[in-house]
Amino acid sequence: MEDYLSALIGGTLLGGAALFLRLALGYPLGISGFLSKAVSFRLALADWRWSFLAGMLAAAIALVWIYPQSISEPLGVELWLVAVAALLVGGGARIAGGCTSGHSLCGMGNLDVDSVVATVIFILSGVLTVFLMEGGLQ
Amino acid sequence: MKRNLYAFLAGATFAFGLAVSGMSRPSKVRGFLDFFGDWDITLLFVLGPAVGIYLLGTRLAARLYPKRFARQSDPEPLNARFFVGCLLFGVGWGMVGLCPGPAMVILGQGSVPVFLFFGFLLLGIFLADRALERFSGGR
Repeated sequence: MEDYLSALIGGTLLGGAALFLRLALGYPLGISGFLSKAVSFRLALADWRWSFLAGMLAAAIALVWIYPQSISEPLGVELWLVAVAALLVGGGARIAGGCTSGHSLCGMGNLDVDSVVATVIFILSGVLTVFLMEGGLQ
Repeated sequence: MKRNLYAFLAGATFAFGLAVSGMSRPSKVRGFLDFFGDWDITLLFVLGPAVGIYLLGTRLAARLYPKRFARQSDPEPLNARFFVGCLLFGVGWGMVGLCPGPAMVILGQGSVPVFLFFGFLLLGIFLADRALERFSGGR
């Protein structure tokens, strides 16, 4: 029960933050897009996006004290798998033009067909990956 | 300056939202993706209000102030590149249970795997960005 309540509160914060950014700055919220502008030396394009990322980092540091349980879980797979997964997530998001925030939240919230398609593929390929890693049909 | 303050606040709120919702716990995300095992549907209760608030809020703003908040859409072309990108993302997401936002939020954990994930995440974005620039003019 508590899990569902946290989910609803968390989802409200996520939707609220994305809506606020869209109305206050005029842009949809997309973490991989912001990171892409930050790491690709397009510094002028990054502008306020740096502040957004700084806000996320400030919250990440605050969480160490105010809600450590939410960030303390080990990743649970070997280091080489962590590296491969991260390359796939980063590269895939850039190639797909967005990640879970840009496509699954703002894109679907904007009723963009490409974002609905992206979300379905994200989930289906994630489901298949977990299925295979957990032993598949054995 | 104001824009930077707003962006900072949105970023902090978004990060707290990821932490509270459970998205920053890899086991929770992988549990949601474990359709054929012990499927945990709670993340649907994250997606629901998040998408709903954004949808209703942007629609309401567009109705009240049609000029200022008109709906904008810049969809990706549904081509092979797009499908491959989505597939790669989903596989990586299923492997560890982290996507870009949560990967930033758990940096405070200060562990080697988390730094490694974030470093390779940036590297993946950078490499894909260069490849797209070279082969398809940035798209």
